[in-house]
Amino acid sequence: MNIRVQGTTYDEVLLSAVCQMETMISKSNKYQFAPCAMILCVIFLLTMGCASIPKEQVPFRSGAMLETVAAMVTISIKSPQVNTGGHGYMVYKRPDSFHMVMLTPFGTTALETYSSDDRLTIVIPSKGVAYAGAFADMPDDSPLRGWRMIRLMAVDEPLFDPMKKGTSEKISKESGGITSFYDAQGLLERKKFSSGEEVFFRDYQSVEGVPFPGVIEFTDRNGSRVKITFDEPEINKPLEDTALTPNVEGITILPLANFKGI
Amino acid sequence: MKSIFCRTIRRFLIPALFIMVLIYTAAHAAEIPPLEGLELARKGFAGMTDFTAEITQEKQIALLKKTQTSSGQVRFRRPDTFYMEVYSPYASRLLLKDNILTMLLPTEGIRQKTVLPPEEGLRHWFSLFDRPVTRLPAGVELRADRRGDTVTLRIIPTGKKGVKELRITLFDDGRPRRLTIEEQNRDRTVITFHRVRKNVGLAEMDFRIE
Repeated sequence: MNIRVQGTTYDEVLLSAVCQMETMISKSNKYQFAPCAMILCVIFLLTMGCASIPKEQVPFRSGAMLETVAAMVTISIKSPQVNTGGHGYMVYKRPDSFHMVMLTPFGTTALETYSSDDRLTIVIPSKGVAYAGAFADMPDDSPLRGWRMIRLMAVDEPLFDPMKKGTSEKISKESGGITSFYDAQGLLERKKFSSGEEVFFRDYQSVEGVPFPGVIEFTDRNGSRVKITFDEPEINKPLEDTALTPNVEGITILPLANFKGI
Repeated sequence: MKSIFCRTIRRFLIPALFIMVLIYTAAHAAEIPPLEGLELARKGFAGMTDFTAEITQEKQIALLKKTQTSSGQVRFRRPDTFYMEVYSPYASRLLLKDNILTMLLPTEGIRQKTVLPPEEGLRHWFSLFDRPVTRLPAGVELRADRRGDTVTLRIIPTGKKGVKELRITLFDDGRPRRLTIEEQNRDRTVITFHRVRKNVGLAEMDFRIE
């Protein structure tokens, strides 16, 4: 039995094979061909799992903004004092609301952080304790000290602008100057703050036309480095406000200055 | 007529009856007193010096409305050593030697060591299994049921902290079958153990984290 499969896309290949199978069955005893048909089905089902035809990427849309993000994440926080990290998930809502959950290897919640504006709440569910306060209240020796840089991820401008390709742009704000650097395509690749922090945006992918960096890395002048790697991001999907508000019912709330670690 | 009747019974009624019995026994596992359940688990575990297993971990994330599935392996050796490895894409390794917890994220090159309080160490917990269980642990509600050759223990903490319910199913020879953890935030993790082998003679070198 020699089956010749034609076509360039997966759909065409599948259609071609089905048509040929139908022809064979109609020409012969259908019961005789039933095992062949089953084998072909199994082969196609198996190859679907490792299809080599890549999914076509929607081109970046100029001016598209990040309104919401929901994604699995891997976070590493490195500083001269601390080397920590883990896997988890995160949701973000423009302009600057974040909810991040770090998981234990068993899949349970180790720690949750909620932040908005300059406020941060760290919830440790297993202990029934939350620490709340301003980012500035976080002790210098806290393992999450570098986490204050997460605020820098809140980019209130499009990540892709072909008009800005290969340029840098300085914006003055009350807090000081911010210089943004764009690559040859016009994708925002780095932001440098006059306070010494830098944010790097890497491995862009198009999520339905919205450019989204697969990796965001923050550094500061004290040698802290926070790297967030995103997986399966969902961009600009509706997000309820409750997803960004800590539920502290039955939880003891302590000052953020008391947080020393899990 | 008789032949049709017999054929009908053979073809439909007997399989139907068999399926009904199966469904009935599956749905109505016998609830047993929690102390008896704990004691069954303890006895099963008593004859085990070590075990290895492959695992599938399914994490249902309520907030994202998605399920993340990972696979890996676990190893345990009495009295106090546990190793767990989760494979890529969310690779991690964990070694718990009594109360010293070491975690490694190989891709990120992160290694963390935490010393837990002695009462949270493995040696302490497994020493509780050295003698018959005579009373239930404080601060939890416990339920047990028996189904075939498995015992399921449901541990429900009375407080509102982190874990809402922990459910562990063990074979009657102590081998783990499934662990389900439900959290207050509606997340749920199911770890299913496959190819569980006990008393394989694990050595110190089987518990190296890197």
